[in-house]
Amino acid sequence: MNEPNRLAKGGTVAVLAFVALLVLLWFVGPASGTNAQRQNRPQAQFPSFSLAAAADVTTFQDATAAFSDRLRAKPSVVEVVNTAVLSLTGRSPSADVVAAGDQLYYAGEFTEPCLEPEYATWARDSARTLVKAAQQGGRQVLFVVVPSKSAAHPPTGAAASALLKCQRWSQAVLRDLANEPGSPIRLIDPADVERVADGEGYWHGDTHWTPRGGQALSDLLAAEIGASTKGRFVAGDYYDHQGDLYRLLGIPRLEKTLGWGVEAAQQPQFEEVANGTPWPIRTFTSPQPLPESPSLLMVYDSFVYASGLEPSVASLFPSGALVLWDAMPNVSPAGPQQLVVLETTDRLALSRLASLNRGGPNQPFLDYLAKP
Amino acid sequence: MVFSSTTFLFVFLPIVLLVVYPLRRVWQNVALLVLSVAFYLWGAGSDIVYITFVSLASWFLALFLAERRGWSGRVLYFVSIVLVVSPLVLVKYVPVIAQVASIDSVFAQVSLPLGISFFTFHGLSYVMDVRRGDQPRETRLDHYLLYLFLFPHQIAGPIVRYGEIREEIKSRLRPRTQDVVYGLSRFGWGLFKKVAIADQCGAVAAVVFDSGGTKTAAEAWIGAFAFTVQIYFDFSGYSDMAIGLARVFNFHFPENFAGPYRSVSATEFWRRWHMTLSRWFRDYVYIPLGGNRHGPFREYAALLVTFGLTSLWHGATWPYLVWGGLWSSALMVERLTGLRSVTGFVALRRALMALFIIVTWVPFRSPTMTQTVELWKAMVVGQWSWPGPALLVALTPLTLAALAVGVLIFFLPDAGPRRIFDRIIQRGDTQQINVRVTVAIGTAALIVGVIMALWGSFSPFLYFQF
Repeated sequence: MNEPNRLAKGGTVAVLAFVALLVLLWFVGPASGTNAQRQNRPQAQFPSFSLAAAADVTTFQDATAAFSDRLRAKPSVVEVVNTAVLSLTGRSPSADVVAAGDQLYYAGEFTEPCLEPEYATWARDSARTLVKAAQQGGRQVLFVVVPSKSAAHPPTGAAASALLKCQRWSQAVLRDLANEPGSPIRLIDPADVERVADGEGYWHGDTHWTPRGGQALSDLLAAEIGASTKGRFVAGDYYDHQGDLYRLLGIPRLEKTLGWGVEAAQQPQFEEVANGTPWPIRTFTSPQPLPESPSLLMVYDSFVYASGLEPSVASLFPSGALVLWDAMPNVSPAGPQQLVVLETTDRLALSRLASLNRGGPNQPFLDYLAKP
Repeated sequence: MVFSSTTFLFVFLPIVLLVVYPLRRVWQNVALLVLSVAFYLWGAGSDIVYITFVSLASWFLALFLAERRGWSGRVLYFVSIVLVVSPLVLVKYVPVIAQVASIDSVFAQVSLPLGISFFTFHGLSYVMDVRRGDQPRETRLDHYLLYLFLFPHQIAGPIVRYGEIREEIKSRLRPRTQDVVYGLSRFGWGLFKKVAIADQCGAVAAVVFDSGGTKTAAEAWIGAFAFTVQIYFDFSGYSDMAIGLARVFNFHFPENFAGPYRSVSATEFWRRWHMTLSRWFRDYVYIPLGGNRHGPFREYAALLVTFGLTSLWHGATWPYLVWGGLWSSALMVERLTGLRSVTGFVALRRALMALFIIVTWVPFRSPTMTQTVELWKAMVVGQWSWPGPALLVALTPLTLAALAVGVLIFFLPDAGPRRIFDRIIQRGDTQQINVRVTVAIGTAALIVGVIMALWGSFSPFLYFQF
């Protein structure tokens, strides 16, 4: 029977215990690192509240994000669950990370290269367009493809072949394009990455190459202008690196990494130039460039900046500018550079190359290239 | 705000429990109404006008429905139905009709208000019950508003009739300890089903259904099966949470699922799947159309109309109509051939039913008929090879475990319409629960559910995504 107006003791205990469990999670969390820091972004702020804002559903979405970021238990829970699943099964609990053998990989390496198969055709057209535009402008253009970790250390096992199917297709297309006469495409050999880095070309818990492995890019660019980087790069101090794959798993695991780059005397000077995007162009001048090296414009991605390769690459050239792929549509503030390098990871190589078609979103870049 | 979101779990729910419980009875309804309005506002913003309109229109017009007979009563009834159903028709169906007819519609850009199909059916059932004399009119607007806004059933049901909770709203008695323990445990059980199983299977299904390209047979079957598991655990988990939360506040909601994947026939499946919707259509459409009282042809016509409307209730697209068409065909075949009366060959009939269920969920999940046909084709004549990389990376230990649970539910021994949760916690065949077992099961499910809810909301921002 229902009791008239008083919750029984057992019911009170159950409700209080239930509430206590939920409320406790606001206060129990990791000793270091906030929720937002673990997720590699600034903490979401509570929206300002007004009558008009109350009618707008985005107000509540923002508030939800702000609440979620302040739930202290979340990073600890994610870390414990993912560490446990990874160690017990040897497989990644996240669809963003693939664990195979003793390696971790970013899942996009396997899924993204062939998301749009028609990119292969567009990429071929783009490669020709690039060369033509650069010739009109009197420049040299290179499209440099960096091998992903899975290209250097392919996963093994029963499903490996199926896992690599998409990547192998895009690599075959890229090889064909690179072999065409006059092609601007240069493929960095994964074996070169490991050779220059004495087998430490890639991080374990990160999708990128290490600073040492990244020397393969500088070597390729130097070779293109008939020079060598021999003796330019020296070892620095070891430092702790938080890999992005561990970050995806919410596991704050650091890897000791050998610093690698140019000596202080060869360090270029950088300046930032606004270009109307959130990613300013970084112009530079170098004190000791390679002999007879041209000025450089390099469009680059995380394989350069995650490994901190900007100073190493820039030091090879007397002056130039570095532009992130996202800032591509407007590179004119970079100035009229002689050598234009488009660096990209292989998983995005075809789609990025395809995006350089005439009339596409990067038409301003093609205009820049064709302008003397 | 869904029940598995961090805002609901860690902000709204503790506030509701801590605010409502200590209040005197008379204030509990007020607090529940205010918090339910806040709940809706949080998820829908200004779309709250739709549910408010349906609430006020159905309540006000029903005040006069019971008294008026004759033609004026019929006109008023017609106007009531039209008014209550008009927001649903305008925002859900008019844009589709306008698109088909290539006409510009002001409602084309209007997003579908949260739970509109549910609160419309709540309002309609009240109007129709009052008209038929099954339910006295409600003179207290606050009580009626609480019925329509009550947060446990507001967004995704179960579809509750006013008469089922009217006395509970009016008397506002404190729940027994057994109800509180049952309610909280049932909520934990539902949360576990939603976040640990449904959401995991949903990630796998999304890879197959949300991408283009030709699928292999393995991909098509894995995708269809993953969605089969997802939709059951998602919807029944949500219903468990709703029923559990309602019980905590001493509302007894009707059951919505009873082991539908253990059915041996289409007829049985619809007695076990989304039971409150089936009941609604049975009572307000099928039976008024004559049901099975006027010969087989009238029965089949009523069945077709009922399933046509059931399909449209889910969505006004061809895949939903095909889904409904397949089920109504199966029901008719069972009636025509007498298959629904067969009692033997249980294992074979369960296997065939399982196959039918999996296959028919394909149009339900597919955005277009083209994709439906592509997937069906792949399931039948597709190449048997390893799944592609996108599906392989989605098959994590957690998603595989969820799929394995999904396989198990098809093989559970049938014990009639009793739910698994109730079979675990009840003492024998009685309605009494074993409190210790209930607390143990509920706590374990709640902890896993909360962990998975936290885990699922972790989304690092990666610089290499640039």
